[in-house]
Amino acid sequence: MDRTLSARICAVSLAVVFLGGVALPTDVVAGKNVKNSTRTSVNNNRNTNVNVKSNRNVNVDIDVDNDRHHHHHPVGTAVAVTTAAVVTAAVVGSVVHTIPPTCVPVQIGYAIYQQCGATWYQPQYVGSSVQYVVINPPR
Amino acid sequence: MKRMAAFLMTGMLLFGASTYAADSPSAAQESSRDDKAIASLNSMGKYLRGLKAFAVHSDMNKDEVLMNGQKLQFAGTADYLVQTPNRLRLEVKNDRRHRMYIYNGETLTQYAPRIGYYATMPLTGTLGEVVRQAKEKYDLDLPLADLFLWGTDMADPKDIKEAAFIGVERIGDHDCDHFAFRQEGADWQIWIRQGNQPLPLKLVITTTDEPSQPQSVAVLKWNLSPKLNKKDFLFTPPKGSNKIEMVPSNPAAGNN
Repeated sequence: MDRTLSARICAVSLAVVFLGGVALPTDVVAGKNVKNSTRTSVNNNRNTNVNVKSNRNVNVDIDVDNDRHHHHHPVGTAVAVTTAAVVTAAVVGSVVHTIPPTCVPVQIGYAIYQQCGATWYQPQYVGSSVQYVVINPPR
Repeated sequence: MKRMAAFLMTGMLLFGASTYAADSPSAAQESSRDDKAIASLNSMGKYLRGLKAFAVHSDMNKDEVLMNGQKLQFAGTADYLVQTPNRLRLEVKNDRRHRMYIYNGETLTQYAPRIGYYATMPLTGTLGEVVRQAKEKYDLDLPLADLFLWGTDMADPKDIKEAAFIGVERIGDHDCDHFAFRQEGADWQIWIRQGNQPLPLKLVITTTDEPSQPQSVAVLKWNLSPKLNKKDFLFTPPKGSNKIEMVPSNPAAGNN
């Protein structure tokens, strides 16, 4: 498989959620997106964060730690491609909750990135979840 | 005669309806805020705030709601090691995640052992202030945050609309007082150990502003004389781990 094709598949297999807009659930595993609505505290539920929180969806299947050492992905998670296939390149600034197991961690300075062919991701925490933001290639 | 019968019937129906309304649970509960239940909660809070150090293990079950309203339940554990006023170590484990949290009085670190990512948050203050700021600044929910908020002005009893004592029940080896509370967005129940150590041994929170009414359940085991080591509250990035950023909870706040 040539590099361009694999990069394209990488990008395609990710459902894209746009930063700053409504973070719609992805179609990666249809019907398995969860609301982040269950309270675990009676005194610590000040909703400081209506825009982000109310739209944030956590995907049950893919919200496991994306273990880069073992690449254990539930079957059908990383590769389930449906309507996201219209996306031919990952848009810089878009966010995903999981990345393909073929991505390679690359450290530049103190920062860690995940390189998936031509697409680069920067991992970050949102609450206790790890998400990956598409960035311009850092090198 | 027919009209008379109809009149009587109507009267009986009206009478019946009003009797029913008076007996209905909703009417009876309108002003049910048991002061003793509130007082027990306050005593527990005061007792918690007086503890110098503790370790608590919690078995957790939490419902997650799918977009179609269906509930799924996930189990996990949370283990706290706490030294007041400002040292905390927490390990959260479930099928989906493994996280460590360490607060050293100046920063709160979140670390994911399996993927090796850690992030530090510059937070200071008491443990209650830290769990509150983690929520407000980073949308980070630490499990059982209430343990650090009860007995402080961050837990306002006035939020509680209804309060009731349910009965004496046994959790593990201890007799507990079972209380039920209702407040905006949540019905919740707590089992407080009887005697001179009024610790919460079980907590159930039902989210009522979500149509599926998901619950989170925690059963707690306490150790009030844990072994403490300075190292427990220091985070040294393990070899191969990488630092990443915490996204602030409302980054778009001036832009929208």
